[in-house]
Amino acid sequence: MLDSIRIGKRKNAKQKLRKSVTPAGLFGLLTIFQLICLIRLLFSHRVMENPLHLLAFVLLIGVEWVYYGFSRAIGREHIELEASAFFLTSIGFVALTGVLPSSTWMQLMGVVAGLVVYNLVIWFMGSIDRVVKYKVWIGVGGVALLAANLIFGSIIYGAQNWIKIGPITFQPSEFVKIAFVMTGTATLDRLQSSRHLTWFLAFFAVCMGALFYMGDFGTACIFFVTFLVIAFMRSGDWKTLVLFCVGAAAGAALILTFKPYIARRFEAWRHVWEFADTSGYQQTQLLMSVASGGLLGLGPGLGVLHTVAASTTDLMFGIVCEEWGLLLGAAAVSVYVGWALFAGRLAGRTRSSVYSIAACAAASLLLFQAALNLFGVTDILPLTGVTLPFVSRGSSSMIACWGLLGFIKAADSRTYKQGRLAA
Amino acid sequence: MAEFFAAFPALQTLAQILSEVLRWLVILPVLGFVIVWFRSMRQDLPENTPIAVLVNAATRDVTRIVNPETAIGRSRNSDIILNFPTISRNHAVISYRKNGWLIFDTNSKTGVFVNGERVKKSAPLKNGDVISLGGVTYAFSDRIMD
Repeated sequence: MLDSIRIGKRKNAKQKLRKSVTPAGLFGLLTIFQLICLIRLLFSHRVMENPLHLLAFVLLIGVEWVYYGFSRAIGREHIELEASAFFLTSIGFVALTGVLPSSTWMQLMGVVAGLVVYNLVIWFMGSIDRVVKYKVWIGVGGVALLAANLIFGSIIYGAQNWIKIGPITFQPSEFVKIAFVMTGTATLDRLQSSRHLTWFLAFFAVCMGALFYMGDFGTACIFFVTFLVIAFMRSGDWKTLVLFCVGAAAGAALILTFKPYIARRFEAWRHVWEFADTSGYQQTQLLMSVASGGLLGLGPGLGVLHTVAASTTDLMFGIVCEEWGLLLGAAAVSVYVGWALFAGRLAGRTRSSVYSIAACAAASLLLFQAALNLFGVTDILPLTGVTLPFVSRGSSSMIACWGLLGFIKAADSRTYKQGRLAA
Repeated sequence: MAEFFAAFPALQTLAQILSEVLRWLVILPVLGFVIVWFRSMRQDLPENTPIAVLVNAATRDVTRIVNPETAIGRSRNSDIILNFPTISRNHAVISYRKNGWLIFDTNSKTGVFVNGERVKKSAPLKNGDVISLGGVTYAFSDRIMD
């Protein structure tokens, strides 16, 4: 009978204590950045035509510090993840205020709703038993959302991915992303038997079919990559991934054979300058705008990219670079990379594989979506019309991004009560 | 504001200077935030300190359990890899839940035994319990001293 085991301490040279960065310091730096931007916005003619819209930006700063107080009140000390999300949101806000000030109020509402969803996801993920118990209902809810979109959806910018209820329009596929990660995670947890894999594969197939039918190929790509991440984390088998990729390529070839009009959407890919007046117009305008902005930008409201269609959604990176500089655009990109690195580091320290898979799936979804947007508008990849997470205009996207961030936060065991080891 | 500055040209010059200064000044908090943020994300991550151990009955080797959920199997994806033909790819999972330690049989072919009794789906683990998987026997201990 073992009473106790004495084990040697592992010597780790990196365990030398360094002074921790306080959350207040991080939020303070963020506020300084926001205040400088706010003062710069005062010099914008377009903004000062109706300066009341600046109040939305001021309220955003207020929301941040209210959230900071809330986090400290519930004992959540490590809020670096939220700080980075607010940083990206602020970048989007300052760009949006300079080109379309009236839309900042809806964006602010998206942030508030997103924070609610964020904390809901953290709470929900707090118990693995709860996640496993409700995974089927979450999957059913996701399918129901897509079905509602197929029946009631409106076609905007070529994709039937919008539902309109009165003055409010939203994109169901954005919320399905949260359901997708949660369902895939719970189904492929290592404690589940292999037959549960069939449910997730069926759910995945339904999602992909619906997205292709709606014409939302960008989101379909994102779902596919997320599926690969989840499947790889579950199996660790490269051969399975190759099999899925080959299957996907075969499926894509079949679709292009029977629906050649889809291929015409990508005719400008790698040849945007030859189609500068037609299908390549958006990318060429963005490339010119980014170049004209330089490192520090032209200044708020002084750019021209906002006149291009879908500029505040698909081309938001261009507006940021044109009016606020490439440095700020690069800073935004670094945050996405940081999330992926953070999720990877957390994966080996979580309480359960559910959290590892969820965090890595969510982080890779956000990173791939950002990459698809950035590479699409710069003609490295075909333009697929996905938004830049936290930066682009769109409340649905904002809410979904906060929800996905909740999975990364839930993987950090420091999120939950101190000393609570059990899952 | 444009009309205001038009009436006071000197102020307009001052505004232009201020605008240019702010244009450069914004770099500082942006760079500062990114650097500080990356640094803070690396710090204070939860450490992988052992929370339980498995002592091999035959060799007396000590295997540390550092996660509240630890997979045992032949697969390279497992936390504890046992490369024996009698061990399934995903053989068992030792998990710490609210009620304490549990061991799960994850559809293994040769089964999981705790103190000689076969585990049907899951079984509780206490300090000193003997776990057998595919002929490999361990003693479980959750009382660790540094």
